[in-house]
Amino acid sequence: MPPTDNQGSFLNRISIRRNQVVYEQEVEDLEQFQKHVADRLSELFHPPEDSNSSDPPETLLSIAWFRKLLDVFLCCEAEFKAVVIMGRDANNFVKSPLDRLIPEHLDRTVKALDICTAVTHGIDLLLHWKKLAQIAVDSLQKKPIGEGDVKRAKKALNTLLSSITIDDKEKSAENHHHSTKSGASSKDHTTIGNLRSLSYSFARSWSASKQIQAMSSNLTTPRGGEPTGLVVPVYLMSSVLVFVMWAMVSAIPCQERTGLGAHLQLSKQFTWAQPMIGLQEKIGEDWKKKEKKGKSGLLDETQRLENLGLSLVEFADGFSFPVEAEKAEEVAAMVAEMAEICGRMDEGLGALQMQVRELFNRIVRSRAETLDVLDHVNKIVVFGVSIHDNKEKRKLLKAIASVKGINSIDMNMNDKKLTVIGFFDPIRGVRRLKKVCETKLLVVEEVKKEEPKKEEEPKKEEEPKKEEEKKDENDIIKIWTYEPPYHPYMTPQRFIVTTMDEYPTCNCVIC
Amino acid sequence: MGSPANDVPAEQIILRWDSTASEDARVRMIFEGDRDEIDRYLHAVDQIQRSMDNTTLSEDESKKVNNTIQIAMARLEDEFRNILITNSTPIETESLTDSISSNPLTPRTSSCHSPDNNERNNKRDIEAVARISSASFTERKTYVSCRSMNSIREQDLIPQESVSDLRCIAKRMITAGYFRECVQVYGSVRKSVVDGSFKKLGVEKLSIGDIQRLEWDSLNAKIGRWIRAAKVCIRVLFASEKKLCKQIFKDLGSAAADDACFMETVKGPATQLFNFAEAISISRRSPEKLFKILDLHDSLLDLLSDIDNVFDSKPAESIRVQSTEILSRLAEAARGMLSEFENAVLREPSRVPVPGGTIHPLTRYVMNYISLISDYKITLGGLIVSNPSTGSRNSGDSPTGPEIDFSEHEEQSPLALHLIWIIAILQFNLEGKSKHYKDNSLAYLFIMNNVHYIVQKIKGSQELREMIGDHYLRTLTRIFRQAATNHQRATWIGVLHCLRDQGLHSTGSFSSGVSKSALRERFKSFNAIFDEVHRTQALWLVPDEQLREELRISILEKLIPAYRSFLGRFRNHISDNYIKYTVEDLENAVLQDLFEGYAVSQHSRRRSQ
Repeated sequence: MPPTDNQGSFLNRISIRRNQVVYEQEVEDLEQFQKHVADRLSELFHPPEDSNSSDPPETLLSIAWFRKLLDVFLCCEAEFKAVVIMGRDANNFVKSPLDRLIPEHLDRTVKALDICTAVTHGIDLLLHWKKLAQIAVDSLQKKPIGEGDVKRAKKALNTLLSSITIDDKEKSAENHHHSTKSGASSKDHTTIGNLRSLSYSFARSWSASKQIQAMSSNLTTPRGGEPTGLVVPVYLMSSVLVFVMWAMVSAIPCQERTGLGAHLQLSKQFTWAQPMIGLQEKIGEDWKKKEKKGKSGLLDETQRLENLGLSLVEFADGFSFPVEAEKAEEVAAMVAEMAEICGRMDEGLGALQMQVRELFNRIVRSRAETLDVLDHVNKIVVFGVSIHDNKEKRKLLKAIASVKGINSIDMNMNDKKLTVIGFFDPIRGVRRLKKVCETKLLVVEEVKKEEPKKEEEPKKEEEPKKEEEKKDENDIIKIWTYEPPYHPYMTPQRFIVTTMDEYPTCNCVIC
Repeated sequence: MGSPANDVPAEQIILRWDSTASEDARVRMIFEGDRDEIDRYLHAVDQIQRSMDNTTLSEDESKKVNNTIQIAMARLEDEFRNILITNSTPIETESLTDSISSNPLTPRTSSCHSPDNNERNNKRDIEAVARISSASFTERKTYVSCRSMNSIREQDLIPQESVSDLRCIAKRMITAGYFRECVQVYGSVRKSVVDGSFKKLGVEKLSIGDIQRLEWDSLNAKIGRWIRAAKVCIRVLFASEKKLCKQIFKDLGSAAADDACFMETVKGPATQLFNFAEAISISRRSPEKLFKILDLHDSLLDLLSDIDNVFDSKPAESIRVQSTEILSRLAEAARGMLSEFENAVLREPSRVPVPGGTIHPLTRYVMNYISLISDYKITLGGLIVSNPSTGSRNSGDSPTGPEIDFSEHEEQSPLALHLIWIIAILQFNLEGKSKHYKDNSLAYLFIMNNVHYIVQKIKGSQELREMIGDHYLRTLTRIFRQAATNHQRATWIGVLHCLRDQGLHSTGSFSSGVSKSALRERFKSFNAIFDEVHRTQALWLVPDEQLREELRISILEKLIPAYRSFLGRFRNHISDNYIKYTVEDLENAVLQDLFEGYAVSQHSRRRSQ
């Protein structure tokens, strides 16, 4: 792997340090990056217990935990960008296998962005639940507590519970919508039904679990012995991204989660992967258990709300006056817990939402910067295409020609290979071609320095030409100056030649 | 409606309407019935609420009142929801009944538009209105909608009568401490109405992934649609929702109830609306997207003050922040696309020379692009604040770009410098392309044609001319004139060479010693060279008529006098067989055939014989 060469890079000022980077430094940076990620993740996995900080360690999958997780992600992201992307010559990314890994990573980031949006909507739903719980808390905390208060709390809790359990289920919200006037209970459902349909932030076909699946399916462990040290960091970043998105989808209400895998394919061979696998296994187990029941998501607060809600509804159902002291105490404890959860949600959800937004912005920025680096590479891409006749060939060429940035296309019918050169995204090329026939991406290669050399050649020719011109000029001068004195017409010609520059505003086009 | 003073009837009224108690109470709605019944019920609720404050109540009584209030509130919540649902038609199909809307509109004039801009917007708005004004609109409303969409135009979404009912209910729910329930119901119903309006306006729920996959053509259409929809959404839909919230909740309760309800309603939809612009702003940059991005940027910028207006509350901050973020991202994208364009122009790699040395498609494309840029002068001028980066970005080893000294253009705006830079790059690229012509003379003609085209394009547009400035225009003019001169020299040098005196005279006396054989050779080679030039350059092209004429005349001015005097001096020394052309023949050949792009016809050939 060559040391970075960022001559003429616009990123210079951001990573001045890289200028003096030598090979060892580079390796150390990359190792440090992995170590940092490992440290941060294990802190999340095994919170330091001896710490004398007043806060107890965050419960797994609680809002506070997620805020920490997102912090970890943001740190990783920043370091990744600094170490792997910034100040690199694009040529680093055009060699196999990075030429494939980086676009794949970018593809994942787009999916992550959509998940961020879906999660933001999910947090809105959580806020809605919090408000319902707050109604219950407020009315159950009334002293003295009356039947009316209990009824009110029960109503709110029922709405809450059905909203929690109905989420993600393809219940016919439509039916409820039409029978709006058939009683209070169905009216509750109307509300929920509406909310539910609105909790979809994207078209119905969009599914969070499918996005996660697509993100993780092509995430293959580097085999080792790769020619460049950047493979592992890129793999690491993708893994962390997938893990964070997966955890969020599992915990926060999200559009269409059925079929979300409880297991992510993560390689055990790296130190940073250990804590991630540990966390993943814990969450995965929870998910498996939970999946059969409701689908409120694994967020600690939601689950506790759900349990408390169930008990409180039970209490409200059997409510009769007067309440036994023991029961009252029990209820008071539950209400207090619920109040505490509400408080945490109040505090945490807004901040979490902003953090998700920050994550979104950060991903967008890195993506743009990475693309910026990538776009400036002239590539040779070879596609394997399965076509048989000229008609298909024509279609194929038409399809590939529509991709922007292509400089040349060559189709070899014998070995069914389509070679394309240009500044373009090979993945996009594959997408277009797949519309015509089965396509495989065979080779992506940087165009070697031949290209500039070719450009230089004409320049070398230029100089002799200039000389020729000079010769010509001399010749002309000879001819033009050799004017027999009695050729009166010859003189104006010199006038034309020499005065062109001097009368630029004259109307005539060339003189 | 003489109400009895004691609260027994009040409680009875409320219990009569307890929807959990009787089937009749469950199915019938108070607010769909008799006005008297409504008043009676509201009055009963007021009474019960007042009796709550009565401290002399016994514990039992207090519990009973508490219970009654719960029943009343549950009832009111249902009524509230029911009124909202019966008035939940999406914005365009909703009919305004004449009994309401005494003053539905507060027309404002916007002053921030240039007239030209206004016209453009109006045209779009009329289209938008055509979409939203369906047949069910009353005449008045259609008229109103046809007015320009350049400012906030609130409409009454719900008849005034229902609004006052809603306010009556909301007031009692909030007094009784049921504000949360009220917001939930309000938000959920109105949100689905907004959702319905979104569908009618064609606001789609597209994910960023979807948008990345879309072809530019369809994306292009979607951006146009979005711009129209966004205007309606911000200026009519959201503004009207806000007005409705104000009408129902203003000054009720302590907290800003109206803002809370408004946000509950529109937060989701607003985010959804902006998602699209956001997705566009982060899609991959390519030069052809620039102008649509600028359109999007323009219209969002234009909407920004109204967005700030509509979303002025604290809870709406995230929306304001998001819209400015998107705006700056669009600006960034526009900047990126311009530099992308510069790169593309520099690198445009086609090597096959255009036949006849005519205008290269790249030149046309770039110049059209540049004139479009000048159309967006105001927007882009605000976005482009740094001078072009003239250094080559990746490979610093070979000089792959033109050299240009911007110190001569210090007084010009960065955008103007970018335009000059683009032209310089274009010209640099064209110079490179001209090297692929085998014939030097044709290469010069190619440069002349193309640079002349550039100059004409600049002169043709007032905006462009102002931006590029006379200084650079002069430089360009000089370039194509020089190319014209070079072309003539390269072509006619050989021809004129045949017409010189040198070498024809045998040593000694000036008049007597003309070498006949040399003279014969001269005429032969003149005829051959001229034939060749005539034949090849008839195939060449100078598309601009005036330029073509000037060029021909300039050729004639050199050729004809030389030929005439040559003939005059040597005609007597040689047989007419060697003189293939008369002066007129030459004139005709030059004036009629050169640079037309057609093979010399048989006719003209015969004519010249």
